[in-house]
This record gives sequence, C-alpha cells and structure tokens, in this order.
Amino acid sequence: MSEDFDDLDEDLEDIEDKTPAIASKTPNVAQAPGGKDISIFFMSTIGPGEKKQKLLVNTGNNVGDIKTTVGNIFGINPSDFHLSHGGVTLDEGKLIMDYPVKDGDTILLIPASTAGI
Amino acid sequence: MGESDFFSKDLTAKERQLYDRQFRLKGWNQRILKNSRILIVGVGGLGCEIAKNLAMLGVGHIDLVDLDVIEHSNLNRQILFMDADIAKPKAIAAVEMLKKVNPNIILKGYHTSLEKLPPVIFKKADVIVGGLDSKNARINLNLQAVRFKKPLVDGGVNGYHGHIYTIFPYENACYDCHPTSSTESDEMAACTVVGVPRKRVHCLFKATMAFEEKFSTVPNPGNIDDVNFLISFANNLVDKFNFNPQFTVKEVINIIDHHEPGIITINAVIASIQSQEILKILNYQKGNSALGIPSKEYIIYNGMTQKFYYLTKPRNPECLQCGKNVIREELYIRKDQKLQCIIDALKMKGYKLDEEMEPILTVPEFDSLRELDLEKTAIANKIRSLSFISLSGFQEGEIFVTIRLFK
Repeated sequence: MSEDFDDLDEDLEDIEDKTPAIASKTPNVAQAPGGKDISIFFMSTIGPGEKKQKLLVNTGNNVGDIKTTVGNIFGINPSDFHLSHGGVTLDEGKLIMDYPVKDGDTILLIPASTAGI
Repeated sequence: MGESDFFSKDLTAKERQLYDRQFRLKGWNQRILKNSRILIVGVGGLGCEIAKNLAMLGVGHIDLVDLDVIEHSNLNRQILFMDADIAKPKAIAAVEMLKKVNPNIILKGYHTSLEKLPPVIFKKADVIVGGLDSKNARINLNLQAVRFKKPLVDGGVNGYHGHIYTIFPYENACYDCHPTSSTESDEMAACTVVGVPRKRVHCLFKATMAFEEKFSTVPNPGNIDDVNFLISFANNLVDKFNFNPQFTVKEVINIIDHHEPGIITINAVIASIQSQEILKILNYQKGNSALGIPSKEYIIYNGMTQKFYYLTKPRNPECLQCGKNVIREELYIRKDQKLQCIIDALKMKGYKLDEEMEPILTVPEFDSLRELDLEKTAIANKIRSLSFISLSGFQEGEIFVTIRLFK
C-alpha cells in the first residue's frame, strides 16, 4: 500500500473506473449534464496522518460517488467520514454543482461522529 | 459581578472548602454556577463524564435524561455506574452516584426519551447538553434548543475521533440548517416500503419485522431461540431471492445488536471540552467573560494525530427551524378543549386555511410524526404545557405552535 500520494497525478474519472460501483437505489448515473471539470483539494481530518490530495472533479458528479472514490484513495471507510465544504456537510444524494464549490476549493473529510451530522 | 472569595455568605463552610482551589482562579464566580441549571440529554460515554465534571464544579441543578438501562459493556467508560446494578435505568443510577460526588447540588434523573420529557425542563435549562448516539435524537434536541433559544452544547465520538459543536440559535448554524437525506433507518425504511428485499441484509430486517409482529416484542440477541427464529426466516429469503451465503449466528447478532466502538479517553477529551464550554457559556450569559468567550465553531478532534480542526458553519436563511420564513405562535388552550380550537385561534389571528388541504397537526416522535386528533381534547392527545405542535394546511405554510395549557 502506498502512503505517498503526492507524486500521483490521478484524476477522478480514471480512479472511478477502478472503483466498484456503489449500491444505489437508482441506476448509477456517472455524471449529470451541464457539469464542468474543476480541481478540488481533498484533506483528511481523520486517520493516522493528515493527507491532502488534488483531484479533478466533474461538478455533475454525485457526492456519494465522490465520497466512495475519495475513501478508496485515502484508505478510509466511506461510512467513517462526511465530506464538508465551507462548513456544510455535503448530502450524498446531491451533486457537487448543488453546492458553491469552486475550482481550487478544499473539501474536508470530517469524522462521522456517532451517526453525527 | 464580583469574584468568589473565601468568605462568601451564599456558600456554606463546607462548600467554601470544597471549591477552595476553584476560588483561586482569576475571575471565578461560584455563585453563577450554583444558580445555574443544566439539562444533559444522554447519560452515556459523554453524558457521564460531563455530569461528573459539572457536579464536581458545583453547578447547582443538573437534570439528566436517558432512555437506556445499564449494561455491563458500559462500564469500560461510564464511571457513574460502577456501584449500580446491571439493568438499572442510567438516569437514576447516575443521580445516585452524583449525590455522593457532590451532596450540595440538586440532581434529577428522568428515565425517558427526550421526546417524552416534559418540555418545561428544556425551557428551564440555562444550557442544554447533548451526549447522543443518533441523528434523529440530535435533530429532535435541536428543535427544542432552537424554539426555546437555548445554547446546545453537543458532542459526538467515532472511534479515535470526535467533535464538539455549540449551537447558539439564530447566531450560528443549527443542525437543521443543512439537512442531509441519509438517516440511520434508511435501509430499514427502504426495505419496509418495497416489500421485496433488494439487499442481503434486508432479508434479516424482514425477519426482525416478522418476529416483532409474531411476538409483539423485539428479538433478544442473547436468546438463542430468538436468534434461530431470525436465521431461519432470513435464510429462507436468502435462498428465495438468491442472496447467498446464508446468515450465521455471529453475523446475525452483530447486525441486530449493533454497537459503536467506544473508549474512555476519546470520550473524556470531547466531554471535557464540552464541559469547559458550558462553564464559559454560563459565565458569559451572566456577564462574566473572565473565563473566555464561547466558541461558535464546529471543533473536530483527531486522537491519532492529536490535531484539532475548526469549521465555521454558515446559517441557512431558508432553514426550516431557524430560518427567516419560520412561523411560530404561542397559544393558550384549556386542558379539556378539543384541538380544533388551535385551528380556530390561528384563523382569529388572521391565518387563512388552504381550501384544498385538510389541516394536519403533528408532534415529533423519535423517527416519525404523530398526528393529533382535532376532535379530541388536549389531554386525550397527550398534549402537555409547552408541547411543540406543527400545523400544515394554512396558506401561509407550516406553522409551529407552542401550547400553553391551563385548567
């Protein structure tokens, strides 16, 4: 297992191909129309070491799908964290474009404290 | 307000001795604590530690609420139950121990859910404290804190991590400002609605429901007969809908008797920060900022790296609890009046019924809403003074009503 992610220059689409599809009630639509590619920094507040990783994200992507992908990259169980942008916990049923996420922004992986919010 | 001194007349000689080291702190005022009232909701890993801290500090009145009874597995982190019997209500056992910790304060225990707690106890608290283990309970506690405008000092833990967040209603974001759709009962609910299991675990949920229907009680994971009933029922479905492999005893127990991991160290860190914030808030409310200014940030603690992170949670002007469009009313009604009088009173106040909808009155329960009967009295509907009722069916939208009962 590689601990050093800094040298990798992976973008999200490549990674998603390697990610097992998450169970979903509705057919898995990878991207909603009208999305655009932006660079996002993902930073973990949980786990044994603080990690930061830049990823290319399409704003038409589903938050839940991105969470699964990020969980795999960081090696953290997706049920142990939420994604948080600007102090707002992102709803897994929504798209990135539903939030004011801009190119260059940081999204935090925050602990899902006992079924927390 | 003056500092406490070693000759304060409002304290007994014993109290002055007990609190001697606190008095030596700059800006300390024991009288503020003695005259304060705190409500702690959830007397588990966090609640026990917070209650212990506040009792030792000399907070004058502490109300403790918990629905649970003591289990042996609580004793690795819940110090208040060391002398108590297994299966004793936590809130009651906690009060007995805390009376030994500090006999100079008032302690009240309520063995009930926060939804069934007399609402007046929320109103009387200076600060409400959350030590909860579920999202539903947090949302319901948030509702009470917002409508009574009480600071809610909440905390949570997850493995080696935790968080602390104080909601100051109408000043920072409440827990309903940015709702997320996922709930703990998600899988359960989806399974109930659809009828056909769509995941392997749904087979077990269906078995649990069948058990509850047949025996009118929940299966006991410690009883092999109960577990065997579930396995047999669930594995029938596993075969029928091709979700192999079959469930084993261990797997079934792990699923139906699910428990979050928990250790005293992480609990103690989070509970201590909550306690320190409570101290600051109580003093700040009374004009004493010598202990510092209460934090409005969402604080994350990582026990693996020993790092803290701070988030500012923005308010949502459209929030369904603290947003600008929320309509709140307070109405006086007689105990023996039919609840139709609430509709009539609102019409008198100028609200207009939506002709295309039936007016519906509901009160929040743990994970659902209970509909009230307009043709029955307040008492028959189990409405108490300060009960929170939500009304729909008016042109103005949803209306929140706090009820004032009188004879």
